[in-house]
Amino acid sequence: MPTKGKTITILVAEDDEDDRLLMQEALEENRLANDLHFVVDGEELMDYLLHRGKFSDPKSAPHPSLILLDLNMPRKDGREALKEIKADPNLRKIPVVVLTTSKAEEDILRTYDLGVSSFIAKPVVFDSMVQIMKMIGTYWFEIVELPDRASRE
Amino acid sequence: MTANICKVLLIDDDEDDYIVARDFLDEAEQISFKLNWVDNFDDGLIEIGKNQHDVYLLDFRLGKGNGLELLEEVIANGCNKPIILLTGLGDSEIDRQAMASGASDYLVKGKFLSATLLERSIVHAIERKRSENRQLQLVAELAAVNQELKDFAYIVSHDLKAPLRGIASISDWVINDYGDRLDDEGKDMLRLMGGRVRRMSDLIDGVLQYSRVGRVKEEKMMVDLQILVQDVIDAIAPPKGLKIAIDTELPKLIAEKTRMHQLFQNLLSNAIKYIDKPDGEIHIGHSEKNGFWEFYISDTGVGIEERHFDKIFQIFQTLVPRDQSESTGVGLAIVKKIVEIYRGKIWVKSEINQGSTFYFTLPITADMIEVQP
Amino acid sequence: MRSFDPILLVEDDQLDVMTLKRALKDIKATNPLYIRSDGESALEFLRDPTSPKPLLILLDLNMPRMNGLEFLKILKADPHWCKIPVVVLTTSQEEKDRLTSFQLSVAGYIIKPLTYDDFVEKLLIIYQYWRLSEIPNLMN
Repeated sequence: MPTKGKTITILVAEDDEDDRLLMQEALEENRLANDLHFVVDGEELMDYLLHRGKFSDPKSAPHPSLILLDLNMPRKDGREALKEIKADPNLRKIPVVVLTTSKAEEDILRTYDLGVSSFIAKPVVFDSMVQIMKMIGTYWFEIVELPDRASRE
Repeated sequence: MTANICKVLLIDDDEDDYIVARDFLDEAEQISFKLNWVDNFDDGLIEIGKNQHDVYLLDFRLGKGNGLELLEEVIANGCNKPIILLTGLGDSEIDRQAMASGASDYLVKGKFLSATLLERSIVHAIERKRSENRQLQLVAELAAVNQELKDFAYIVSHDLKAPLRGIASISDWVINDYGDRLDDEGKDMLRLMGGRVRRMSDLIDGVLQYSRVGRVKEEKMMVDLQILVQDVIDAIAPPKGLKIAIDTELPKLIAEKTRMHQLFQNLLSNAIKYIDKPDGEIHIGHSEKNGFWEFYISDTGVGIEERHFDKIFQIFQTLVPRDQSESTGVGLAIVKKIVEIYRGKIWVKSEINQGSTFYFTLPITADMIEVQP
Repeated sequence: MRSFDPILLVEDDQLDVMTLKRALKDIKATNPLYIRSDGESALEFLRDPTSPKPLLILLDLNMPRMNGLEFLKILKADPHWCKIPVVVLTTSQEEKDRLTSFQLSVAGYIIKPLTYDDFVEKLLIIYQYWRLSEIPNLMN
């Protein structure tokens, strides 16, 4: 599906194992799983992005073009992580899409306030997940012009 | 040097060398030399940093640190004045290193050194350095102009195309919304307009493409034309019934692959386009002539009148009415530009209704191909 | 975004405005569309307590008086308006425009295609994506 010819790196932060599997399969279904990385909580997410801890080797943590973020995670939740990401001048430009079960107005308000790109309610049925991943993939990788990867360091 | 006064700085720990140099330079007739002297590495570094002299004479043996280290350090600091290294007899390895590090010359001290030799060496070193600096400046200017052109080309194509978007959309909308109120002639007018808009867009793309040739540089590599031309033929996918034959075993040469591809593709597309017979033939081949390879691409197409032979290579010149032809007339202009960049020539022979043969030359490359900037 | 939530278009080129209006109609989007032709009048629209609060802003970059990026900077610095997702719709392919936009947390950056048909195709995806997304409802 993606036609731009550049590798698309998607980073997913999701604590629930079943949901991780669901998302992976849905992304694979849409042929978006070329360079897919998972982290299980906010702490790991920041380690990945800042090349800390088990991700000290930059090759193990390639710069993502898109981050899919669950809000409710142990150790550090999505809201905290989002705040840190948007406060960092190098990480700020990566689009973050919150994909979470919560539809609370409070959460929606708070995440947009912090600079999230968009907020999507997580479906539970596989077919819907496939549809949503298709929409996310088409929008972010075919329609939207992301800034060049090289403009990072 | 102002009014023939040349300021020289000698960096040498041996006072005798200073005396010799001073005496030699006093003897000079053409130029009036003013000689200063420092006897150690650190002072040498400081004085050279002040950039108040026209030329530096640097002894190899300098107490703390040697002349070669000083040479490398001042050049790294951006010294752009000529530096002549003074060495003892038998130091040929040092001489080689000095030249590699950026010294303008080296002189062997002792009985072989004379006033004339010293004076001549200084004058030549200054001349050479001046010319080197000028070249660096020109290269920098060229890079700047190139970037300007690149930006300009982008802006031109981008901004010139902007109004076109609107015109094409509007003509489509008018046909959609008011089509039932328009007679055939009205609809025809709008279609013609749409066609002109598309043509304008293609012309802008053509100009951009043309301007890129010669500006966008690629790495040169060994290109096997036999394979390249076959690739071009496959990519073009000629119509059935059309025979394309490669008559000779095409040579290998060192060139930019994309340019060669563009060259053969444009010529072959052209040949195919102007064949009006169902069983047309195209032949490609080459021969060796005077250090050049002469290539030919011949077709059995409509042919070209002699009076047009030069015109067809000009940009935007087409020989068929504009509305009938999709050609923007850039293809052959690009081919000519590429051939000329490689210092070759291109020309055509043709007979109406029989066909045309395009000839072009490319230099035979031994190891490096010299490309005109 | 619901199908009746207002959208604000900040665009000065009359033809581009016509194109968007027509395309929205072609994809059967019924959201009320508000149009302002530069950053300053868009800010006035947002400040006005009587105007409806848009849930999505479509933003052109090349505009007179205050250009798109300046407007975006002001918008994102405001504690109230920063929550409205902004999608840039522009002809500029310049890397620095893209980078600045994303540094300012835009929710999309789209290059206006050459033909109307391509534009409709792109707009459909954009619209479907935002119908799918949750957007905060900023009450006055």
